[in-house]
Amino acid sequence: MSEDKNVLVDISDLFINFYTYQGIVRAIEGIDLQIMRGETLGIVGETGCGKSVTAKAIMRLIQVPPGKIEDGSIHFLEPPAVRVKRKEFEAQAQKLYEKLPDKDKKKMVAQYTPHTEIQYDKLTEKDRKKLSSKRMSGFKKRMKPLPPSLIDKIVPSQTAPSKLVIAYMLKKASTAPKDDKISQEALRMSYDLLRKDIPFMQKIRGRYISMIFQEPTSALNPVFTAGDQIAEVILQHRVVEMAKRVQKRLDGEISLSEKGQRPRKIPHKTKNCPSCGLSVEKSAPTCPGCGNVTFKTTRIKAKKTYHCSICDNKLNTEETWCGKCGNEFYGRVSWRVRPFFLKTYRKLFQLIEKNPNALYIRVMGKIPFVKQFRKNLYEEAFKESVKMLEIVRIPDPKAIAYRYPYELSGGMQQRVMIAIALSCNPKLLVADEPTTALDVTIQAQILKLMRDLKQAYGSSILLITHNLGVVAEMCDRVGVMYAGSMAEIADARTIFKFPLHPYTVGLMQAVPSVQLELDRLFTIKGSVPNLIYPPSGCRFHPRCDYAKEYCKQVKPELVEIEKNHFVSCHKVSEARGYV
Amino acid sequence: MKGGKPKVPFDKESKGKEKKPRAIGDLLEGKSVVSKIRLWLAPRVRELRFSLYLMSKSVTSIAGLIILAFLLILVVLPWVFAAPNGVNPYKMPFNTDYQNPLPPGEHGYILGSGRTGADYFYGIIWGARNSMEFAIEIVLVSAIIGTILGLIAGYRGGVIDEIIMRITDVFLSIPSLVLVMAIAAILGRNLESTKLALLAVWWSGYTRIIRGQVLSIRENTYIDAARAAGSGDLKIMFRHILPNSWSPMVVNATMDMGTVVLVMAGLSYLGLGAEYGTCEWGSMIQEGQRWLVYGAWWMIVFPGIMILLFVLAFNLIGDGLRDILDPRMRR
Repeated sequence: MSEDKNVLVDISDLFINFYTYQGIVRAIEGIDLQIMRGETLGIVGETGCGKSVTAKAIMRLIQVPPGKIEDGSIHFLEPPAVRVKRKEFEAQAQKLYEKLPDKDKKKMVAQYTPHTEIQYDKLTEKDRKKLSSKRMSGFKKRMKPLPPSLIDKIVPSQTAPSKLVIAYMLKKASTAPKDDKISQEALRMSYDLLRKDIPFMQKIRGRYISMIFQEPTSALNPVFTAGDQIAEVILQHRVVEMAKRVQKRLDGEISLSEKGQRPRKIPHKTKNCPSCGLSVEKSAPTCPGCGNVTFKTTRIKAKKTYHCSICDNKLNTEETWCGKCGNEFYGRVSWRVRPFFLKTYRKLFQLIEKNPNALYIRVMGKIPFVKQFRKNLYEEAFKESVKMLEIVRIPDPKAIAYRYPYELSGGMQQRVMIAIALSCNPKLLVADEPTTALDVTIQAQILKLMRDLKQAYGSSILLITHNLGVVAEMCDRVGVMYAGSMAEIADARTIFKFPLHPYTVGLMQAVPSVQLELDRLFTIKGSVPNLIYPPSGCRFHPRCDYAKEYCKQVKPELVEIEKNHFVSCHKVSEARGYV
Repeated sequence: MKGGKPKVPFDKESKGKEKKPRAIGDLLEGKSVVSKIRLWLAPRVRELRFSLYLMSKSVTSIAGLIILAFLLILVVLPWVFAAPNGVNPYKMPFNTDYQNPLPPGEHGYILGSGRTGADYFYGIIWGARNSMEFAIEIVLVSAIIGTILGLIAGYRGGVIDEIIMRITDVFLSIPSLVLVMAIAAILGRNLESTKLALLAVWWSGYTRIIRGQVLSIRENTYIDAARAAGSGDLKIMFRHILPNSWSPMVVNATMDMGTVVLVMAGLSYLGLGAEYGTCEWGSMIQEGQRWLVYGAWWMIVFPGIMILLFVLAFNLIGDGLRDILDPRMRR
């Protein structure tokens, strides 16, 4: 595939099975997909094609007892140098595999791809039964190794099995020079998310990859306020930053209290008129006594009356600064120990900044009364969450932050979801049908919001949707999925103008049009197959009008027909002379 | 300022801050302690008010609340009604001058007396405190044990779930009466052994309730969302699942407050709980049945009414709680 330097996520050879009572569901069979930095990649397809499973696989959110990621790699945030090196080593492994005699190749395929569909030369009825009883039976957690008679009938593929490549690379890693960091990282595949443990993934989730769910109504926890839920994510991943802000605030307080002062400012300069709702411009405040002398020694709570410019309503506010000199009012602090107290308090936040996950800090966070220090962090996080709500263009964010999810409308909830997802400035935003549950006007707003935020934050979006209109609106590239494999990947324009795969063509025809007068809408005949018993060869062949005998036997590979246009179809690649 | 008022407040110039349109949220915010507290309280008070409104719609739960208020006065301030008797206030004062029970009103006994001049008024007042203590202790401890075990069993699933739930089944299958008899035989007849026996049995019910709730809650999208935001297992269990799943347990625990007192009185009545002379309504009734043939009705009626009120109060409140904790009613 393309050797772009901008690759953010590189999914290759992904295989995911679900072990259910009825049998093994082969949900994902060999997906190759790249997501570039700053692009929007759409994935379309019918229900049950494995779109959501792919998205969840990137975040490693697939539940492990029924599901299992069998094979493949998901490289995330890999530096280009490492990526180039890795490709080199993979090519080496491929060359070694090609040099092997046929007999060894068969053995390798049998050994390293026990979970996948292996192509056989000709199967007798007896062999089929053996297969179904031994390999296909779902209740067993692991598939048994193949009998030697079956190994002989394997048709080895041209590309090396990915597990073989991984085994080769790991073997080489132990012998390679340790000074060469790049090749070591490439050989050990240190950017592969599938080889990471769960604590590492917890740092990745929400921080670098975050997700927007389909139904905001059920994706927000009903027992917490909107601001709470955003603050929680911020505290999860940005404690250090919050600790820094608390320190900054404490620094200000310390310098004030060393002077014997305490800030007495009120942050609002204008207020809303209670009757007409318009903001009231403050008339120039005048100093009640004059000058700074009085203010520095006494606490001042001068009340002033303001008038609304429209309805002449009266409002009282507290005076905050001197009208003549512009100094803020300060009250004198009588308690002299306060600076010392504040300094020791600040030291705690310095410790948190150094290592927020240290044991003593976690223990202190659990003890009643002692854990009050977390409240400072929480306050900062809450302020940040109000900012996030403002960014997603929620009117009156401060009030909304105190609302429970059920008090908000659907569009509002989805905005809160987006605020949660964007609160840590992720590199990749996975949007799993973000607009399906919303009404059309809100859909447009949400999509525009996502597009704007993508540009502002420079993050990539993986957009999963059924709505081709959304794809046309949003996406730079589109991947069409069918029954667990990629049917076609191309630019959005190409997909709509020149679709090549029969499935893509069918999808495009199924879009209702205003101009054409039709009695019935076009549908692709049949439905998505049960993936416990996936069709042999090309998975689309039972529904394809152009299917031939060859299609039923051999699975097509994803071929680059034109530049950046990948299609996996025998008919297309034959017509273009790729076979 | 002298002269005309400037159009732009000078603070804008001196600070360089941008003025933004104000809204209700701004009015709420403030830096003084009072406004902070008010801000913190606002959503909670809103919820509480709504809860009270829902509760006020049913007459029965209001009745329950009134009875509970009456009982709570007895529980919190028993010495106002009857001065504590020596070191152990849970022992009824005796007067050996009167061997036979006296009817209400005679010799200063407001609600009559039992054998050897035991003051039944004192017994009833301090019995309320005794019962409440007993009930709270058992329900609280078993609810905590049940919650933690149920949470782990429901969230983890698999083998851990199987082990915890089978152990729970074992404890559910033990009849509490038999267990109390066994423990009373070992430790002697008193309230402590009753407490121990009830504790050993009671937690299993809560484990089942919580586990069932957790099994349904953990399938929700917001749990997935929490996981997608990077929360660990412990955080998901205690911060996301637990607050959503404990409402049926709260209802059950409230109702169990009454049931515990009923069981305690029953055990005492059978002669397995508190001995005569303790401020415990069951044992007071047990003593009364011996004297019923001689016409001593007060020894049964007054403690009986108290048990009735206690159980009734918590059952009515439990019903009301079930209504207000039902999420469908709230939306």
